[in-house]
Amino acid sequence: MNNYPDDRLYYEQHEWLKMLDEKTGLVGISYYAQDSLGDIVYLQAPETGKVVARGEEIAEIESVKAVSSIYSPVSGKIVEINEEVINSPEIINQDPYEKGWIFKIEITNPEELNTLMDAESYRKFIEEG
Amino acid sequence: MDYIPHSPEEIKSMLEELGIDSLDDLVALAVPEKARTRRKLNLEKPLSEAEVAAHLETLAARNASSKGFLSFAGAGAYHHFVPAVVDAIISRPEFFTAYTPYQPEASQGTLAAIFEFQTIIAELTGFEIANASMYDGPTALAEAVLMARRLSSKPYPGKVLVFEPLHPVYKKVLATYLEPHEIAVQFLSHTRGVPDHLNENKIAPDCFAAVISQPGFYGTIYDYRDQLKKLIEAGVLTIVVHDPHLLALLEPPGKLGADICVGEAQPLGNHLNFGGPLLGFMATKKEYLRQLPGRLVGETVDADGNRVFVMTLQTREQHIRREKATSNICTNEALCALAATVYASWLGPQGFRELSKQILLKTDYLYEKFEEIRKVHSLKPCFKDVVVELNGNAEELVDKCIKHGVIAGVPLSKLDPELPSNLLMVSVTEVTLKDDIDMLARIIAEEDR
Repeated sequence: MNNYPDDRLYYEQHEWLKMLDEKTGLVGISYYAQDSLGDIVYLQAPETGKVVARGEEIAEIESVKAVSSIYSPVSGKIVEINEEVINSPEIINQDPYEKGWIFKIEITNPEELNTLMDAESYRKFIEEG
Repeated sequence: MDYIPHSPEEIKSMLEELGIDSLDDLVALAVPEKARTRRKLNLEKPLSEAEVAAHLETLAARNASSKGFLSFAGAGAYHHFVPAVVDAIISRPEFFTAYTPYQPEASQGTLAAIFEFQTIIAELTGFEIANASMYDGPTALAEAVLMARRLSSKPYPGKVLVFEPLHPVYKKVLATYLEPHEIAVQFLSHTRGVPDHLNENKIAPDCFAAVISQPGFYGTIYDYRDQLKKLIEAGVLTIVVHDPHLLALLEPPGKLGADICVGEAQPLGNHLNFGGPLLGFMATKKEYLRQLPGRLVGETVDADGNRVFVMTLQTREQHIRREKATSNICTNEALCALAATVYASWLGPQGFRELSKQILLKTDYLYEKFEEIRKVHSLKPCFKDVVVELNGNAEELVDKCIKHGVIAGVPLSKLDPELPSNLLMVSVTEVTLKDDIDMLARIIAEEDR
């Protein structure tokens, strides 16, 4: 099973970004991130309309083991939140890449996409720890 | 009795390993010459256990306490009657450790007791949730303000509006906690114990929290509902510092729409213990759960479906979340909280209310009696504390009353040197008798010149 699909980019804090068109993309956390956290019990919603910088902490995710921060992999404006995962955060464990997306972002600096990892590099990044 | 963990054989083998001949040589190597003391230490000769006990008893007998003296000292910590059942239960060895146990789930009795404490505090304050307890009332207040800071979206660092009169010790602790955050404190002035009118225009745009005290520091109970409404409309989070007994007589803050209630629960089943330990409590709305500092015990079921208790949401705490924790408190006042739990359970809701009413009536009597002899500084109605204006110095009067076997109260200038030296805070509880109050009034009329 491929835990790191090729149709998206990955950030060093273990978020993924999947561009839907030239401007907007979905962000979630990687298989590795949800697996390390364990059972996710709470997701603090990021604020819709908030303008964020790349690497900025925008939400908190809580599992039975830990509370971690979620960072934005790119600069932009948060335009939508996945209400379903706010209500049932366990969806992130079950399906981190499709139903488990967390927020939709309108990117402001397309060049930042070049700084993110593809699936192959991200897999190596995790293996190297 | 010496306790030296190493036997002579072990010391010898360790010295051999190091290639050193004696312990003195080891010290010579480890401590520089100029840092060593050559002379004999100036200590008194050792005492036997019996001699030490006698010496400490002599020292203790020099203290004036609520036992053996008629005490009207309160001002935040009170001499209430503690039913024998409280000490009987908290003295059981299973409970007699003040610390939250490691591997807490193995201590179901302790967790069950904390869960009951949380339930009692939530019921009294009218809120959905309460934590496992805090160090004391002042630190609970400071933590509540920091919690409001985390909850509020108003610009950093922001301001806190404090309704005067607030207990000076609470103000000091609050200042200590807020200073590193650069949060400014503003005060709403008061007249004889009642906060002045709150003008909406006076609420700063970056004011994220307000602190209301019920009763205020001068003992006066006041209606803060209008002010609460204005604060809520201005998007200010409201924190009420409340006397726990008074919660039984008034509409509690949770029902009035306040955001957080904190206070000092020592009056519930805890002796004065010469000033400590105290017992802070904190209750709030369920929606603020994840910003609540301190421990929280939750109820769940185990693998066999039995009702059990767990330490819950520990992921917010400092030992797991390090610098991002909601607070640096990773413990609670478990034994004091147990005492409060046994106390409140023993009284029951009706008994709790009756007792609180008795305190209110006794405070009323004290108020009337003092109006006959002096000017009462606090406005009525008061609860537990009443501030009296003396002719002379309050500290001197307290000293004079000691020879009558009476601790007359707490001079306010002792708590805040800026307060007038003739103000004396006199406190009563259910243990105070009418005759005691009459006697105090007589002594003060005679000694205060």
